[in-house]
Amino acid sequence: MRKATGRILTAVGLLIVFMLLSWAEKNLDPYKCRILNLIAINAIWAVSLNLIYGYTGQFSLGHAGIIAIGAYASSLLTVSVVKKAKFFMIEPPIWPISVIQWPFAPSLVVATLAATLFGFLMGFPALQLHGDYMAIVTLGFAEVIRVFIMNLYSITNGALGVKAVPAYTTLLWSWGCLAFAIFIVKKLGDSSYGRAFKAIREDEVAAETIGISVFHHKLLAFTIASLFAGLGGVLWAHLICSTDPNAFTFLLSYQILIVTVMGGMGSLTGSIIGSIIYVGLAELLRPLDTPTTAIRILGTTIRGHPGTRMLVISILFVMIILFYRRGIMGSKEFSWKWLLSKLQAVFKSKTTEQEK
Amino acid sequence: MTILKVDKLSKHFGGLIAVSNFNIQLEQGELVGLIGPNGSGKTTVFNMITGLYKPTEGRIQFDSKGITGLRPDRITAFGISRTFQNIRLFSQLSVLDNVKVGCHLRLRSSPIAAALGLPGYRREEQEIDRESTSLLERVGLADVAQEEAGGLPYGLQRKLEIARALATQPKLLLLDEPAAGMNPAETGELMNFILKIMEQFDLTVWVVEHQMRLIMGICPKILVLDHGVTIAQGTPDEIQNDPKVIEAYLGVEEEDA
Repeated sequence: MRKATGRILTAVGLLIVFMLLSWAEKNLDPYKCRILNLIAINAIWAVSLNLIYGYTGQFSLGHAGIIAIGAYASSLLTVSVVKKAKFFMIEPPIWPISVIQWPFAPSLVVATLAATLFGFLMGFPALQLHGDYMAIVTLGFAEVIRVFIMNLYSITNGALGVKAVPAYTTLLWSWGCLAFAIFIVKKLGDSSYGRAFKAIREDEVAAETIGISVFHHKLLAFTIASLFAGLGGVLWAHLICSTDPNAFTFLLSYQILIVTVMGGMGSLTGSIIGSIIYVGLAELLRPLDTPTTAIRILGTTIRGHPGTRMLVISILFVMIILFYRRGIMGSKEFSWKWLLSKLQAVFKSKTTEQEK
Repeated sequence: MTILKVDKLSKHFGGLIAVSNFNIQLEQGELVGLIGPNGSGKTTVFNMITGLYKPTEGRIQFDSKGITGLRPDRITAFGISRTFQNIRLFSQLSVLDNVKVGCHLRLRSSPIAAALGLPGYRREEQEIDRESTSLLERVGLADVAQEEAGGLPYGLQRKLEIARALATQPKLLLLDEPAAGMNPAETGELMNFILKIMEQFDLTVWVVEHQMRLIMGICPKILVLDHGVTIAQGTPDEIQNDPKVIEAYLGVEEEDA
């Protein structure tokens, strides 16, 4: 199959997906739209983690902090002046925040850049370390950011969170941003820089001695990953319509790690699949969390209990790691060539059956 | 013309003196061998020259520029490249990509240009592709270009590691035990290969090796290191008859009381 054919198929595929999305926006109920939005946002986060962990091999647990920056920055920029004055009960908001009220697009750009800057500042010291030490430091940084947010009442409204964030996130925004994230990360991953990232993942010492400035390249990957983490955070804030410091604990970083590993490390299409499975499961298993549901197994009745859902997801995750270590896609990507060969195989087996 | 000048180089690890007062001067186009028993500090010398270790004392001059204690990637950019005793390939990347990584240090386009696929970057990428493919052809690895590097047979992995080092366009190539684990036939082939690339790529080569066959066979000049100290220096013949070298390798017979 020629390269051009693949490109045309991708373009047509994208067109169909976005037509379906704009149909879904108008015709599906808000609950279903919210799930579709969550899939896209989780996929953006997973793509971001894939760049730093899957491609460059640096284990970071700091995503929650970066996402918090994106979410808070955009919330504070867009919430109306009147509402800010009303909701900041403990201390009134300080000067620039008290008068700012921006539309979505500029706020999205500025908030994403703010997250990118924080990613750079976090990466600079953290990436001097290796392996588990780096993971611990990034985890610590994310917690530090969260604790600051909890206590800076005049900027973030502390533990009360920012309420009445305008619901700007639509399916086109979230899936459009996902497409943008995948396009950039894929292009960069296939470029000379991407090869350098992978070389660092495979063998840092060898990478250094053939002229790759290891620290600069790690920092580059980390900063770009932060950009997309922040972008996802902005979309998330405008989907949930409130930002609360308790949403950005290390559990969020783990959630992204689960999605990334489940989909396959180093596979961007895997990130989408992982996100569909994770968000889908989280919704399907929701009855387990509500005490009113009763499930009868082997004559005994088990009642739903809050938290059971995460227990089941965690067990599934452990199973995947045990039996399917490389995730669903491994490090492979979906390709039209692969799909066509599968379709041909199915078609052939059908015709041979008919001949019989 | 002197290409590398190492002056009174020493490395201490705590109380252990790994290398002490090491001197060498390499002329452009020379082929020099460094031998010594296990743990005599040969690899440590290489690690200091390529920037992986910071020397405790001493100076390293390359192309009349001081490179002592610089970062490894900066030293490589000056024109020193190396291979490792235990092969260090990027195993999950293809053979071609391994070599392409070696061209990355000459890339001028920014990450943004690369991510957006701007024309300037695309031209450079084509250039990298052409260079790498022709390099693989010249070293005889073109047939396996698309294969995963980790899956290659041992001899080819050694060759690929050298090819990857050549991709950085070095003036000086440091080979750390290139014949380790090779049988005599393979060693013979490697000797010819080293001589061939020296001529083709206009290189100065410095080999650390245990296999005397290789060292004595191709190196006109040899240094012997023992317990971090240079104990002899000269032609293969001189080295083979030097009593100090014989003592270091075989020990000395005790006199009967």
